[in-house]
Amino acid sequence: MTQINCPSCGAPSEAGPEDLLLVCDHCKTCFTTAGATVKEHYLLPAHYVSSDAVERLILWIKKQVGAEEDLPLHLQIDSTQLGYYPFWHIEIQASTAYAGLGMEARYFDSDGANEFKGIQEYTQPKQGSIERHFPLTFPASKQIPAQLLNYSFPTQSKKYFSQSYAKDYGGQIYPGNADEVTITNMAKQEAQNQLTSLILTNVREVTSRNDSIDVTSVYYLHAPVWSVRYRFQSKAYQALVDATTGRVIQATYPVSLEYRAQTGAIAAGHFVVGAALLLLFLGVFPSFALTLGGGLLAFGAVFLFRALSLGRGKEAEE
Amino acid sequence: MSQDTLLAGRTTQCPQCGASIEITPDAIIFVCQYCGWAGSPDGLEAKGYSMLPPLPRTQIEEKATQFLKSKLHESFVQSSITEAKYIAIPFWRIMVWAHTRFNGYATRTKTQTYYVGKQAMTRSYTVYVPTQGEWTDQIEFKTVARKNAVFFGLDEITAMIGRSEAVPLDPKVLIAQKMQVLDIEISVEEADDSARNHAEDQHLHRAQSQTSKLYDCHTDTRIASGSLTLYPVYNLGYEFEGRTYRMALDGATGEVVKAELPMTRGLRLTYAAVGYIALGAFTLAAFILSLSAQTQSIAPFAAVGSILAAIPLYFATASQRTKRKKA
Repeated sequence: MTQINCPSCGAPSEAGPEDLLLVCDHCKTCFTTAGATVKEHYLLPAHYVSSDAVERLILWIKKQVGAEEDLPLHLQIDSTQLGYYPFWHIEIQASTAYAGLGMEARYFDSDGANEFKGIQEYTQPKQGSIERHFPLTFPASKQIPAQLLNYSFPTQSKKYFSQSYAKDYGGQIYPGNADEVTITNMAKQEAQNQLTSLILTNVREVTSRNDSIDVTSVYYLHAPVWSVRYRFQSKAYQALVDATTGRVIQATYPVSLEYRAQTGAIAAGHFVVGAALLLLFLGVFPSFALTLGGGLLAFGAVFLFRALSLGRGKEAEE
Repeated sequence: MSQDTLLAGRTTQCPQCGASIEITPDAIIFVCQYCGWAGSPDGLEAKGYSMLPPLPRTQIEEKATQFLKSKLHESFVQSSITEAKYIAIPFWRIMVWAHTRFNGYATRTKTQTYYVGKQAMTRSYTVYVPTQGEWTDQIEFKTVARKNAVFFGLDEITAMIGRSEAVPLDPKVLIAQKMQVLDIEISVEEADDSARNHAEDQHLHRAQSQTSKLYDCHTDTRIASGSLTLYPVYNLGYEFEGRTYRMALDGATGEVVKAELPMTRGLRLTYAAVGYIALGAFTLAAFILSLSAQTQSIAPFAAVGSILAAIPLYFATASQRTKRKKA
C-alpha cells in the first residue's frame, strides 16, 4: 500500500499497487494517483438496505421451480456486503472522410438472364464519409465480479458522488484500476475500430482517411451491489442483488431433494416406457414406436433437465 | 439526517414558482413537480412537446385487477397489488428519409445434367448474379430520451409510441396524477444522430441480405420530422399465493403491455395435457403416413413431432411465464 494525499484537501489515502483512481475519505474528491481530480463522478443511490436486498432475494427464490419451501424459515445469513463498483461511461461523436480502393467486378460466360459462370474482380478508387455516435461503458476495476461486466445498471437516478452516503451503508468503495486518459484512449480506439469496419464495407484497402473523434461526455460512476452469502442446511450459497433496483443479478439457491426425487422419478418413468416401446415395437410398428417412444424419451429429458436444476439463475431482463 | 439528504443531487430553481427542484446531472429539460413549468435548467421554456393523457390511477389498477382475474383467478383482489409507480417517460420519435445505393453480387447454385454413355449424371455449379439497386424509404426511429434507461416493459411501450394521437404537453395533468416525470437527457440533435445511424444500419443490413458480396453501399439520410412525447407507464408489483410478480401497463389506454404471471396448477396441467395430446396426434399421423411411405421417411417426422410435443411440457414445468403485448 502506498500513501497518497488528496489534491483537494491534503488528507492521506492508501492506494494498492494497481489502484489508479481513489476517493478521498475526508472530502469525497475522486482523484488519480497522479494527482488529477475527476469532476464528473456519480453514484447510484442504494435504495435497498441489507434487509430489503435479502427480502428481494427470498421473494425471487420462492418463485423458482423446485426451490426449498422452507428456505425463508431456515435461511442463515453469513454476510451481506455492499460494494460500490466503478465504471466509466464515455460518449463519442466520430466522423471520417476516407479514400481507398474498392472492389468492382466484370462478369462473363452468361448462363441465363443476368446470371454468369465467370467473374473477374478488380479494384478502383472510391471515397466516402461516415458519421457515428458511440455510447461506451467500461468496467474500471479488476475486482468487479464477472456477472456485472455486461450488466445494464439503470442510471436514471444517478447523483453526485458522496463519500458519507456510501460509508453510511457500510459500503466498500472499490478503487479504479483505469484512469480517465487510459479509458478515453480505449474508447477512441474502439470508435476508430468500428469506423474502420464500416469503411471496409465500401473499400478493400484504405489509402487515406481523415478521422475526427470527439469525446462529448465522460463520467465515472460507482454502482452499488449487495453481495449476499447465506447458508441452508449447512450448505453455502451466494447472490448479487442490485442495490438501486432490488433486482437479483445472479444467485445460487437450494433445490429441494423432494422435488429432485419426484421429477427424477417422472423422468425415469418416461424413459422406461419410451425405451420399452422402441424396443418392443420398432420392428413391428416402426412409426408408432418412433413417434410415441421417441416422444416419451423427449418428455423424460425435459423432466430430467428440471430434476438436475443447478439452482442457479438471474432475474429476467427488464 | 436521512440517507437521501446525504446525496448531493443537481438542483435548479423553477423560473415560474421559484421552487428548488432536484434534477439529474444530465438533465436538459425538466418539469417542475410543483407548478408544472417545463423547460431547461437555463430557464428556457420547452415548447412543441406532446404527451399521451394519462388515465387515473384507480382506473388503471382496476384494469390490472380485471386482467389478473381473467389470467389467474376470479378471487384476485386489488389489495394484492403491493407496489405501484406511475411514470411519464420521454420518448423521441424521429422520422428519417434514407436513400441507399448498393452494388455487389448474389450467388446461386444450379445443377446440370449430363450423360456418360447412357447414364444421366448431375453436377452443381455456382453462378454469379450482379445485384445493384437503390431505394428510398422513410424509417421510424423511437428511443427513450434518457441515458442508459432500463425499465420493465420498455420494448413493449416503445412499440406503442406513435400509435395513439398525442396532445400538446400539459404537465399539470401529469402532476395531478402524482406521476414521476422523468427529466429529458437526450437532445434532439443526439436523437437525430442516433436515428440517422439506425437508418444507415438498417439499409446496410438490407443490402447485405440481398448480396453474397457487397462492393459498396452508400446511404444518404435526411431528418423528416422529430417529436418528443411524454408517455405514461404504470409499473406495479402484485402478490399471488405468497409470491410477487411485475407488470407494466400503458397509462394512456390501461392495456397490459408486459406481465409476469405465475404458473398455476391448472395451467401446468393444461400445458402438460397439450403436450400429451400433441404426442398422441403425431403418433396417429405417423401411423397413417406409414401406410403409404417408407420407414426412413417417417423417422424425421417422428423426431420433429416428439420435440414439438415436448415444448408445452417444458413450459408446464417452468417457474413463471411472461405475457407481452404483441407489436
